[in-house]
Order: sequence, then C-alpha cells, then structure tokens
Amino acid sequence: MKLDKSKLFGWRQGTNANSAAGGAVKAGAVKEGAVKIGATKTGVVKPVI
Amino acid sequence: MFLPSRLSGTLGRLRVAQRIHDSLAYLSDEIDTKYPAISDNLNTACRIISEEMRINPSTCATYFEIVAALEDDRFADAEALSNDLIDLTKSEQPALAMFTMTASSLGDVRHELVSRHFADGYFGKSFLCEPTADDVKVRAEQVRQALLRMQSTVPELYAEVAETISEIIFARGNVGADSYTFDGASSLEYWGAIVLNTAVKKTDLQVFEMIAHESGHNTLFALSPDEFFVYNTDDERHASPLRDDPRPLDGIYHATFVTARMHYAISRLAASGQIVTVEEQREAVRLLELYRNNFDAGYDVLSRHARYTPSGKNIMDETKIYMDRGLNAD
Repeated sequence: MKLDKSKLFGWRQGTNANSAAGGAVKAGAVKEGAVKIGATKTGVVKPVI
Repeated sequence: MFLPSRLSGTLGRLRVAQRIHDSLAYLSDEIDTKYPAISDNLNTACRIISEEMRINPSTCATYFEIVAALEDDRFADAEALSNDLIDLTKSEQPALAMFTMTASSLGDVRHELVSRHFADGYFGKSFLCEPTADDVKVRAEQVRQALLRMQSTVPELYAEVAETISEIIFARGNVGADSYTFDGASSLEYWGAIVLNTAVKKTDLQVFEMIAHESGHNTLFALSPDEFFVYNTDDERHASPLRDDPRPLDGIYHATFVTARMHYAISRLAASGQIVTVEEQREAVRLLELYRNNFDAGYDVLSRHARYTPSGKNIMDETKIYMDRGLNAD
C-alpha cells in the first residue's frame, strides 16, 4: 500500500535515498545515512558517518 | 542544544516517542477499515507509548518493520509484527543494559532486529558478528569503569547518556577488503542503542570517548528526527576530511557534531583533575588535538556546501561556539 512518508518518523520529503535497513524499505525517502558507523584502519580512528 | 544535559536526553527521548506514536497513529488510520486487527494493535501500542513516553530500540525497529510490511502488502506479517509491538512497548527497559551480539544474550527477535537495522551500504549486511568471550569481558569492564568515571567527572553527559541509551551491545566486526572495520555504530532505526566492536583494542580513555561519540549520534537523531539538518540530498557527495570516500553532507554533519562532543567529554574529564597518570594526560592532549583538527575540517566542508535547515544551523552554530570558546561556552 502507498504511504505518505512525510507523516512517518525516519523519513523526510523529497529525497531519493536508498534504504539503510538492508532492503527493509524498498522505496521512498528514508535517510541513506541512518546508520552511523565509526571506522578504524591501521589503528587510526576516524569519527565517521 | 550542543551542550549535553539530562534535560536534553529527556526531551530527545520524548521527541522520538512522540514521533513514533504519531506515525503509528497515522498507519492505524490508513488501514482502519481494511485491516481492523492491525489497526487495533497499533492503537494499543500508541496508548502504551502515550503512557510510558519511552521507546526501546526494539520498538523503534519493529515500527520500521511494520512500515516495510505494509508497503509490500504483507498484511499477515504486519499483523504479527503489530502483536510483537504491543509486547515490546510493554517491556521495561533499564538504562545502559549490556548485551553481546548473540541470540542467547539478545534473544532471537532482538538479535535479528539488530542485524537488520544496522545494515549499512559501506559495511554491508551482517557485519556485526559474535565477539569472543574474552574480548567482551575486557570491554564490558572498561565500559563500566568509563560510565562510573563519566558519572563523577562529566555528570551532565552521563545523565544525557542514561536518558538516551538503553542498550550497549558488544560485537565483533568483519574486516573489509580495504582494511576498515567498524569501531562503533548507531542507528536511527534502532534508536537508543550503541554497538561497540570489542575486537578493536581500546585504551580506557578511548572507551570513554566512544561512549560520548555514539551517544552523540543518538542525541542528534533525536534532536531532529523529521526535518534533519541539511537540505542537501544524499546523492550529493563531498570529499570528507573524516573518511576516504565522498560522503553525503548529513553524514559529515553528524561526524562534525560528535567530534565536538568527544572534545567536550575529554576536556571536561581533564578539567576535573581525574586524569592522573602522565601517560593518560599525554593521550588526552593528543586526542583533543585530533578532535580539533577533525572538527575544523568537517566544519569547513559544511561551511562551503551545506544548506542548513533552521534547526541544523542552530545546532551547528552552538557546536562552533563551544569549539571556539571551549568550556567557557555556556
């Protein structure tokens, strides 16, 4: 069924981002950056995205 | 809005609870006549949320699962999930409970929800693995000590963390082809939890800053869950001073904010006089210099490219004031 994403937590209107939930949401405007991950490489911590 | 406080944590929690409540009420209205059983369950969950005004991470994730099921016309799944939702909203959620990334620790349902709602385009699905018992033992003790230390030296940050974070999950991360592994993770879709990689060795000071870092992401999620912080779309990428690959500005915004939060946490800890060894004092100086450089680089990218929303601008302005003035910012 079609849902009005602007009325739902986790979405904003007008974006075309992909799902960050591993395919749990197929289309719409869930934030691509909904998962924030810090990464480490060779001991250097990068405060990431 | 930049400076941490118990009030900030409480308001953030209430805001997320209200937003999920309103979303569930909307979904219930949409399916009212066609699927009354689902609608009734969603209304029951709304009533419980109104009474408790506390959302646990599993409730948040299940809400996202229900949205997905309805969108895919999987109404039987949606009904089963709406039954789960009632149980989850009823369940008590102590602050700062520690879990291991296993089904036996989290329970089958929650383990699956964590896997699904921390999936990421960069690290892929299922990058959170079961950690070794020895690593968990070490990290759990470090986290316990860090929280005690935070409570006595940066009580306003501890209070906010306790209001915001209900689950601390210990996991081991896969190492990708480019040698990156995850360090810590937070998810809007599993709000109120942080995941820490126990396979990456950390000093006590680094564990302290990690809690400030990941809880900062959750705080930011709660501060603006509906309009976000920049109008720039996610397909617009910019060189990030904080990561090798070009990133959306929302991500750079988050990274810049939490970098300042880490600076605040270590600065307050240092000002408390509770960093007693020379080795740790030197480490604190190094970390503060790193945060300063990373913040300046992130802020520079935002200044050149970000089209801030009103709340996005207010929060970043306050963040910049702190970084310019230090602990005298308030």
